[in-house]
Amino acid sequence: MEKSLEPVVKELQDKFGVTFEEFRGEVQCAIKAEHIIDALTLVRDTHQFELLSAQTAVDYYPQTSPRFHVVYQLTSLSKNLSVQLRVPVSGDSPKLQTAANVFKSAVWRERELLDMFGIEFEGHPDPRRILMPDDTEGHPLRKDFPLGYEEPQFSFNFDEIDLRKPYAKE
Amino acid sequence: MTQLEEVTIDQYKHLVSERALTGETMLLNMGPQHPSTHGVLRLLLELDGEVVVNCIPDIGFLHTGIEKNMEAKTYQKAEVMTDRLDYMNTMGNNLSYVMTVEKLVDVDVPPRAQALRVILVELQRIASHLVWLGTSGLDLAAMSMFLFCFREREQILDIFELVSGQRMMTTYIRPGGVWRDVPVEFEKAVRDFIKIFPKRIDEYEKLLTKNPLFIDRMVDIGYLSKETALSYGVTGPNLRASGVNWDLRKKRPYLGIRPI
Repeated sequence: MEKSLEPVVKELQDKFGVTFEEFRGEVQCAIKAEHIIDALTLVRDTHQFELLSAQTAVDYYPQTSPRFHVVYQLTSLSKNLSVQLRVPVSGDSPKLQTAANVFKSAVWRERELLDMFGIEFEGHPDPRRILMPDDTEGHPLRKDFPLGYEEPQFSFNFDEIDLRKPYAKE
Repeated sequence: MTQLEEVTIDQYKHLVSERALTGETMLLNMGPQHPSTHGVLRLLLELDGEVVVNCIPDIGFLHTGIEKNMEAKTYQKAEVMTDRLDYMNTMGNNLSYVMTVEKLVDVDVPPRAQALRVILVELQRIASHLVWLGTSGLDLAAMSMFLFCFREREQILDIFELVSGQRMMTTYIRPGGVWRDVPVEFEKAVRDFIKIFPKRIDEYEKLLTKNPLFIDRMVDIGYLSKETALSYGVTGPNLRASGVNWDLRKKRPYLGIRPI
């Protein structure tokens, strides 16, 4: 770990009780869900981590608790440092506080997490699906969502496949 | 697929200003296909005359499920899909994927491969920026700009074809090095390109930089301040244009790049 990153991690450890791991020079800190907004605000204001480079999630199915890890990657441009915060989230109705008040880029990234993983964010200003059409059922990037293999609809089997499609009932 | 429902303004009530609800501004759909050809992107524009007051993008038309597909493949097979993520910057996508795999597996890359990677990635960067410049000129009806930039880009794509057999989706950079060594004509091709390109940039500047039409349509349009850019997570040339001194090649040099 670089010298200038140590006080940051130490302060996170003292205030929020994070545990951290280091792998090939990158530091990952595991933090609890109720502390994440305070941690992001602290890191942005006190330690000048101005950029939220990435906010994604990992699905550890079939492990059910915690099933998801929501990962926040923060970069400090003035000090040239990177740190990663991970929040373990359980599998049934995952909910977190929104980071939209801390970093504006979180608005679209949380929409993507809602769309792809089904993780809901409380207080989000615009909770809509972003990539998939609005009437999609399911969340594609979960590991138990099938990979696809939809049967292509040619003209000779058009009517059969049409019967199977879920159209709106009149 | 459900049947089409009528789109009313209620879905977007929280995103548009109050003037749209009274009808003072107009909500217009700039559909997925439009003459700007910047890929399929649907924009809902709230217009006050000709000024765009609010814009609600609707994305997802280019979403091809690459992430999900890559989860089901081996590391070498998944690399082919990284070419198609940002198809203007194929070598760059390959490079970021390959460097991640090398970091995971802890593999060293020989110096000649590193040098080849740097040359090709920077050429790819120039090609991508030429597309940006050409299509920006085309949007402003400076159509000769488009042809100039694509003429240079043809030369770069010829170099890529020389090296890997493919113009765009090269998959040339592989984990541990590159696919194979370059042929002998590579050096001459790259040196020829480097010799003529600065003069071509002078040509572009002669066409655009002091042009009053260009200045009128570009200056003070879409201003992004430093704090807004950082809060919205902007990186790359856009961040440098907002005044932040951050170039990843200088701050975190990779592949043996020695910043001057």
